[in-house]
Formats: sequence, C-alpha cells, structure tokens
Amino acid sequence: MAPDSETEPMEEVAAKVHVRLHVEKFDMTDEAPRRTDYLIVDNEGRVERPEGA
Amino acid sequence: MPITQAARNLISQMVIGTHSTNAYYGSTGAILWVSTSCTAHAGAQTHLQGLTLTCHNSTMESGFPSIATNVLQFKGILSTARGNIDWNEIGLTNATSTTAGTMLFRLVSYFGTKTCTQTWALTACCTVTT
Repeated sequence: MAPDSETEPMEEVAAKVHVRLHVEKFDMTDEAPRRTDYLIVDNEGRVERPEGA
Repeated sequence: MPITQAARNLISQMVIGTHSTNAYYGSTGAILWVSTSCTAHAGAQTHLQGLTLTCHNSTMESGFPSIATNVLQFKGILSTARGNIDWNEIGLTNATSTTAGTMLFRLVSYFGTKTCTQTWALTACCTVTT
C-alpha cells in the first residue's frame, strides 16, 4: 500500500557512540615508573593535554 | 565517527540475540590494538590499517571493561616489550587475531612514538548517546 502523505513521519532516534582515548605514558628507567605525558584524543582525533595532569 | 559498520551490525544482532556468544567485548573478550597507519577512518574497515606485524594488542586490565549507565571504559597496558612503534591508530576488537573478530571502533590520531623504556596505559571511554 502506498504511504499516506498526510502521515506524520516517524521520529528518528539516532544512537551514537563517542570515543575518547586516554593515553598515559610512563618512563620505566627509574626505580619507580614516572609519568611523562598524559593526553586525551577525542572522537574527531583532536589531542588535548589536561593542565596539571 | 570511529565506529565501524561491522560493529553497527553486531550491535543490532545483540539486540535480538542472534550474535555469536563469543562476540562480547567483556573482560576476556575485549582487545585494544595499536598500529602505525594514518589512513583515515572509514566505516567499512574491519581492523587497523597498519601491517599485521606492526599491530600490537593488550588484553583488559583487571576490573575492565567497566560500565556506568551509558559509559563504557576499556583499559589496556602496553609494557616496555610491546607496542614500540608510532601510535597513529587505536582500535578495539573482540579477538586476539588481526583476521578475526569485529572492530568496534578505530580512531586515527598521532598519539606519539613509544619506546622500549616506556609503558603506556590506554583507556578508551565509549559513550553511547541519543
């Protein structure tokens, strides 16, 4: 049956998955691991380094 | 959006239970991968794009993956012996082989160059939104 042009379109529910990658880097040459860098990469590949992290 | 079409299809199957029972990204199934390719993400990709020899992986740390409402967290650690390459792509699959499983996402960026004197901890936070 042909769709009724007067019918309201069904509401679309769009599910999305957003990814954020956290990378912590540790230098292992000392006795205790020493964190040397911490960066976060968002869904679009943008890199940020949290202040004071 | 770094999610893949294969993952989209797998999630759809999981909703109605027609997926393989070993397809879960659980504590023994989820694998984080790193490699060298800068090739842009495309939904049809099924694994990282770097050569197999440049692909390094990590199983889940204890307590991972975790879930808080709609936020999933996956954590792996690549010790001094592993992943000593340019990190240009990271992905999550449910298999320890580059030729098996389903890649949930692949994210391309320059994460740095890991050396054998370093250990890098990688945490992927996946938020499912409407």
